[in-house]
Amino acid sequence: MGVWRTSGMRLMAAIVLLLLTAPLLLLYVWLPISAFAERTEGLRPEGITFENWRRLLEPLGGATFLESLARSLAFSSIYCLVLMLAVVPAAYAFSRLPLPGRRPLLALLLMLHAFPMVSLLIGVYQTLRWLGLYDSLLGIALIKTASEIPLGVWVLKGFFDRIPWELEMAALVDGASRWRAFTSICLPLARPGLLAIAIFGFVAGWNEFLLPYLLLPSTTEWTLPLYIRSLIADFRFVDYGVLAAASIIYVFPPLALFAFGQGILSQVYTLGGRVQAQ
Amino acid sequence: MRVELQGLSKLYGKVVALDRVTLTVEPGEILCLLGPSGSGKTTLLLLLAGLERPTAGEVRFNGAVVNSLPPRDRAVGFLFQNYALYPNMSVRENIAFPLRLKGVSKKERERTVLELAEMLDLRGLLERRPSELSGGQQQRVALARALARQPRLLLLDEPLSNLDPILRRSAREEIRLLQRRMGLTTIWVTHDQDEAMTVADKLAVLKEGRLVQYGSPLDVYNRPVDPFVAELMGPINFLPGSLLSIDGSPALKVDGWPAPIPQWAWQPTDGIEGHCLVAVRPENVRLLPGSDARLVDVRPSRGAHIATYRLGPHLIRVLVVGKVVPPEACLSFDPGSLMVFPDRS
Amino acid sequence: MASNARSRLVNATSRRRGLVGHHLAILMCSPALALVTSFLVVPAILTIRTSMTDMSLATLGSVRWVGLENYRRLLEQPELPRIALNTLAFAGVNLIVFNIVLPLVVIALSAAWEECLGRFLRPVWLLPRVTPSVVYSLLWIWLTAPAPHGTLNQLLTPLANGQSSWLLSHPWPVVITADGLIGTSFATVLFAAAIKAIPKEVLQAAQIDGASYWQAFRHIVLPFLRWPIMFVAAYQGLSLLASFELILLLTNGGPGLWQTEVWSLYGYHQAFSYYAGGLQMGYGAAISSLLVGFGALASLAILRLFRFPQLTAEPKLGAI
Repeated sequence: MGVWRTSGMRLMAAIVLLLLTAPLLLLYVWLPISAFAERTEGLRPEGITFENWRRLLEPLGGATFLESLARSLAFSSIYCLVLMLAVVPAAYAFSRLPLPGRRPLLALLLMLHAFPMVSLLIGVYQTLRWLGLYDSLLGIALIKTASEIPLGVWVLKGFFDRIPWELEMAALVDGASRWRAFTSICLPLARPGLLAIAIFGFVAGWNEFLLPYLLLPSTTEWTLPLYIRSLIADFRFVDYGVLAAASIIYVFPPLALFAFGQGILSQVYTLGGRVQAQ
Repeated sequence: MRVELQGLSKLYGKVVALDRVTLTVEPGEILCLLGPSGSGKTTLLLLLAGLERPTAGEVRFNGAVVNSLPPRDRAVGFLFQNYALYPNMSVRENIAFPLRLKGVSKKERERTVLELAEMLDLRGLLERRPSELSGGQQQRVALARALARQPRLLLLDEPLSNLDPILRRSAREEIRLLQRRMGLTTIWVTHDQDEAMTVADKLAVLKEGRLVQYGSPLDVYNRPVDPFVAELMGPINFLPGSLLSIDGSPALKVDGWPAPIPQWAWQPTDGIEGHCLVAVRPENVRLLPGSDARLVDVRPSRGAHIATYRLGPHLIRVLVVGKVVPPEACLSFDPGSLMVFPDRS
Repeated sequence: MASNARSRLVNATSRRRGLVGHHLAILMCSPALALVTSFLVVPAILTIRTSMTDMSLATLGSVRWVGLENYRRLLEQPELPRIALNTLAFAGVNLIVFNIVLPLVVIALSAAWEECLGRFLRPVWLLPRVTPSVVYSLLWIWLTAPAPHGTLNQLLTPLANGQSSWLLSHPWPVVITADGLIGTSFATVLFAAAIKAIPKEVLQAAQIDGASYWQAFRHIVLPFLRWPIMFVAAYQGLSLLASFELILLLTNGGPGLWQTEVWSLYGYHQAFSYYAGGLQMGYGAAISSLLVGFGALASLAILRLFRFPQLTAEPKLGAI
């Protein structure tokens, strides 16, 4: 769309854009400034220091930053793995296999996406208790997986849909079983989609705050967002410097992953990329 | 391997893709499936490969019914129209894939891949990806892959239609030589009747899912079963005419020719009466000195010309060999090349 | 006849192998379906069931069935219209301003600067979506805090007396903007990808035909965006009706009574919050159930609207 080039218009467009983006920049630029200052007035730091970072390592009544960080890492990785194991075969089955009851199941999956986990909290709480998974990260991983499966299956199905049928037919004629055609041909060709789901999954697990907050009463199982929240919710003086430092570390992985996966992820939003036929 | 189709039908919902097709392919034969798009040619291949199941009828390999045999057990080689090479594998891996699936040892696989590469002139391309190959190269890789598992039946879905015209002729020859050497029963789908005439041992014409005619290429060319087939097999002139009885013997009166003709070469059925359709191929029309017909158009065609003459209300195409195309002529033809069809209009 | 017997045998053997397609499909779906059933469908049923009991802190151990009593009680609450209005207003304004209009504006403007500015702006606009909610809410709290700490107040000090937190004085604009920008992130990427799919030749033809930038945008680009816009409206619309995480973190429904309380938050407070009156899970479940029911109906309508059958054509190779 960059075919119109009157410079007056371009200048105006740039100005308006920057004006619109300014609030966002103001919002985020505070973070690094505060992390290295004793205190800030708005965006003006007072007293450059590394103290905040040192204080981050002090324990906070039962939980420590590093432990919560490690736990978040473990949680996100396991969650990502469970999500992939559930979503990938299901997406392929919906896309390419003669699944009995396919259409109603697909409709159900779409509808389920409209069921927000938080509205079902009461039922979820009862289910977890019954399974003995209350107050455990595993339980949270499972329910979060359930809530992300509908969208994941639909998106990945889009990727599988775009693989030309001739490729699978050729594999079958060459002597492959359907499973073998799946692993040798379709999976490699759906790699962008798989990567996208993996990144989304990991970031979703990493960012997840509400479910642990609501369903994890004990402090010993805290993930990072809970730890950071406690820095605010504690009724003592809020140390914004430490808070900012913790937040920077917390924000970094999702940003990095998204930056890394930019191109692939935009394909996801168009519900699948294109696959070369030859 | 001998292939028999018995009353084979395939319906997709209400759409009839194949309608009671019956034919036999002898071992080592090349059967060409000829027909316009949508005539069911590809469907037939899919049924033979086991990628679809027939709605009715039987497919037999060497006498055994194989309707529900899955593709992997059929030992069939399939060359897809757009080749369907695995984009995530190199040429070597593409060709070796069927062998890996069979469980062939690595050494055996290597040997076979090299053999096929040699046979199809693919040496030096083995490490490339399909996207790095030209159309002709891709086609040869696809053929190598189809041959890798030593199939009993080779199915070719318009193998030449995606190639440059220059390449087509040589590729056609190569495939045919290969097939002869290996003695592979082959079913070759095409919409190009030139190709079919050159390559086929037997020809099957399909129209809207039905088998319209089945026989040797020369047979179908010279004795088509209806005007559709006649036209499919090559350029042809149709003229209205009528069948008369003169002194008890049948005679043909062709519109535009004063004299009735006592004999003709071919009519598909007995008992055609009254109005009929007379057909003659351009190469069977002679030009004699005269002025009955006037030249209307000339087009070059493979070292000769196709000249269109107007005779009364009719336009007649004539194959003129040689450089001179007279502006006026008298048209005549050898009755031994005439075909007569019932007038269905 | 011998050949009949033999062909029957061949058919029988292959029929056994021929069902692999169906079996494999069920097998491959089972983890996902098991998870979804256990943790979405079952909780949904349990929530509805609980909504018809009087489960609360007071009645633990002796829960009674009360039928539709909770629903009746809900409809009699004086704050209910306020909460419903809050929810609709929040979702509506958010959807239209931040999920449709703003992304279109950003995209239209940034098209002229694709290369240089675009590369810088795109990551910035992606930030809200990617930032964890805890950090995101913190940033907004700091942005709107009273002077001298809050960035906005500090910048505006020469102009006005910024003594109070914007979050306290104008909670709704802040909440909607904060939540809205997350949606803008999502929609911009979607629309940008859809625009990239427009064939270049169509735009060139428009240029030759004499269209100005805005004419081309209106007549050529927007029609291409019809589907993505509808998708965003449906998907985000539904999500926003049930959204509460950010509101919980920013205002927790306050600052006054019910000022920024939305439906889902209300349900949560009634069920899990002590000060609202003793963990009334039955009552809270009723509130949530209504939302879930509404969401289910709305998705059905949307499925119909999006011509669902077209999206789910039967796969080939069904015989294998």
